[in-house]
Amino acid sequence: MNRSGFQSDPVSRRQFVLQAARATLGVSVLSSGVDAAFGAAEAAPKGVGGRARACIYLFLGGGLSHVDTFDPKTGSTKGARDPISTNVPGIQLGGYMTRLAKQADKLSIVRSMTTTNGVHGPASYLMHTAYAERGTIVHPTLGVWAQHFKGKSHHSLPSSVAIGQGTANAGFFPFAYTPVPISNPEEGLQNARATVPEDRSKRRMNLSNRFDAAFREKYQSAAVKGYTELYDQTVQLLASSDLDAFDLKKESQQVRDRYGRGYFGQGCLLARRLVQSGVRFVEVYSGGWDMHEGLDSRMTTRGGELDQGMAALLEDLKSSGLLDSTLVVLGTEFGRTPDINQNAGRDHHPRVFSTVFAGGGVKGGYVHGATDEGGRGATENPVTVQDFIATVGAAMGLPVSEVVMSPSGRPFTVGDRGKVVADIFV
Amino acid sequence: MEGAVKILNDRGRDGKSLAGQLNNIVGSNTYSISNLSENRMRLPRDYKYKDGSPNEPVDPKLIVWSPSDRRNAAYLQMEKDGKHDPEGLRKRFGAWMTHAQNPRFAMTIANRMWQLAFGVSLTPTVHNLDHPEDSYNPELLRHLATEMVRVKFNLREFLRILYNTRAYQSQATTTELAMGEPYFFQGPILRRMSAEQAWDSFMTLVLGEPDKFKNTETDLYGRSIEMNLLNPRLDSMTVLSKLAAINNIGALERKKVAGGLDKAEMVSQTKAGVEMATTSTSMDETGYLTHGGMMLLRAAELPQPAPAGHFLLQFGQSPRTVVDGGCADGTVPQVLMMMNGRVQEMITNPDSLIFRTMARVASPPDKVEAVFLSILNRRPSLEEKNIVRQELAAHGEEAYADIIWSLINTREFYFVQ
Repeated sequence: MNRSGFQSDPVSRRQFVLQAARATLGVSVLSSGVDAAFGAAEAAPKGVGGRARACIYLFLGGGLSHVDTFDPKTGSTKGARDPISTNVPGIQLGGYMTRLAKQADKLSIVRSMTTTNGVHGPASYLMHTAYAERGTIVHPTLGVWAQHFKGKSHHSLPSSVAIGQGTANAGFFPFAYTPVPISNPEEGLQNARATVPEDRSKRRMNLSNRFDAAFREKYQSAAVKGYTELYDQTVQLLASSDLDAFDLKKESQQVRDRYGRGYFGQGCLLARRLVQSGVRFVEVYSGGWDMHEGLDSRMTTRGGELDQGMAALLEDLKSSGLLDSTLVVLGTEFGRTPDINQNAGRDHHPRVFSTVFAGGGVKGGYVHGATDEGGRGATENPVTVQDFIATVGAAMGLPVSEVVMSPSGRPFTVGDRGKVVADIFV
Repeated sequence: MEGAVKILNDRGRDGKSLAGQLNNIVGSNTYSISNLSENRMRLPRDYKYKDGSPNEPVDPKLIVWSPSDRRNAAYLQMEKDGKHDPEGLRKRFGAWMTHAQNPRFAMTIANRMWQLAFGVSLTPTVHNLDHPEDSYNPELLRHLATEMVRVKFNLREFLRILYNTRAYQSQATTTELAMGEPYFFQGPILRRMSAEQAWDSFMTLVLGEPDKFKNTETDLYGRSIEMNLLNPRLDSMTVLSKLAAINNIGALERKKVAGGLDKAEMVSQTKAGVEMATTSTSMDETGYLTHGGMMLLRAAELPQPAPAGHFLLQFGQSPRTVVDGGCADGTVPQVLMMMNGRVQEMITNPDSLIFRTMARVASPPDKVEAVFLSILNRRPSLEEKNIVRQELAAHGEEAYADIIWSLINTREFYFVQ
């Protein structure tokens, strides 16, 4: 792809100042390795977001049933379990969310989400990018947008990570912004372990540099230098303790059990470790939510994993003090039909569904929007997918109204001109 | 569908659990192109350009770059027939687009071939040819378009011409082009190998002659699943035979695997007509080798796009979602893959062809020369020979694998000169 359009992008004022400071001081002004641009721009005024330095996007592929989780009903559309009370008077959750019910005081629940697509692939694409899938362009996801506006979040760690089958492409932004994919949280970063002993590995790298010296001397192009820097960076990362961020074995058995031992629970734990080490955006993908049949038993297992993992994540972020600056967002493709079908399941329901925000400057114990008695449609404050993405962007302090031209010369914004749901920000 | 499920049930299989698969088979045969009687194409509701108003219906119209285009043969044949036959319209549009006299078709492909050879196109971007006069060399661009027509769009012949130009034969340059600054093609631009070039280089290193290995089963799935739903004689048994065929694909593909790395040379020689010493690894004309789960075939023979995590994608192969999606940038996971991934493990494996090439010569300097020629296509310099001598003295045989690893991780290997 021709990405030359980006060479002319003006460096943001903030990055410019930072680069100038580095050049003058000769060293990074921060000792922890976390870049200044990682943080929220400035202390944001009330109600406009901007407090989330980092974001964890929990994405449920297949379509979460809103009626059984975050928008429970008592009438004819009620599922197998009764709604349960939470630690916030007046807010109830579905009967499968027993642990999250004890943390409702940390949640902003949006019950009036609505989407235009009821097909898995396109609906998932929309909930990641705010744009409809096209044959002519790939739209960037939020972590990539954030890197465009704020630069890298850490000197050696990636700025975005996609755990499970999360979206791992940079859209129309530079390839280097591609979220680092982690297919299995237990295994951590792919190819991080050398296939030979450490001293031999070092010897090989040294040998390579010596063989390559003449070439690098002769061809001093930006691309050649860029690769050499990338190798240096990678070698540095491998030698540094930063890499521990990817290693779940550094956590006690007890902590690991508390998140649940499945992919989703361990993914949440890995996301927490990454964010606390300086990664800005982590998507944790969970599949298996397309519950057309046998919903009760599948909600008991899958729903239980969601409840356990997300609750443990919020608990840990709270106790480490990171919750104020870390936004946790729960999203899915669409809702599920309030009426239970003949296979004791629920089908696709794009008309209305729920998403959940926590931490990162959003209100706790709060509900935005509402649905009718059966959970079939929104009765107040409908929120579109574009509004949703714009809201996450605003929470992260991204300039959601700023138009960015793709290399093909087309205008795009974070959330495709969606309206920020400022109501949920403190 | 129901009949098929019933037959499965009668035969003691759980028909219901296979219903999903049956659904997929029938479903994937239901796609077809159909023509609408009305034109539903409209401008977007928020259209802001001056040449139309929001929601306005759009009539099919050919793009015109200059007034004289209308008299061009490509346009004339398009206008010959009426506009109200949608099936014919689609065909005529295709004919207009690929017509030798189309003002941009030959020029576009010529410009793209030039970019392939030189690393830079003749225009600031290969996507926009609206203004050939803005090209770095408009005369050259027009000449290349004429040449493309003259060789009747034979790309091999066209590239043969490009590769024989003095400009291409000149040394690669590292000129940094600022935005909008022209390039005068003092030589090709130094650039990183494409993902496909890198993968094919490795395939050459392990297979010797990678073109001898073909994947003839690329359309196996398509052929297995295809059936005509409009055929009145289509019955449950046909649907079931499709189900069986699809479930057999895995087994069929496994049959095509002829062995691992160590078989490369043997297979290669057999195919070249040399008698094979042993017949234990017999394979037919369509077989291929595997290593660590990777199909050892040229990029063009592999499924597109490559599966998640594959070398090709990590190295920047286009995920095939948009045009020109490939890229030559680096990422940390890509470097990690080059340092510690399966491909380097394969090349430094004693079963790899490069080790057997080394085994043919006796002296260490000859072995090292073979390694340098295989990977960098040049002999080691005096200084490099010294480095190698020290390595071999200090670490013995294992130094060879280290040298191979070191060379495939150099910029010299990554970049095309």
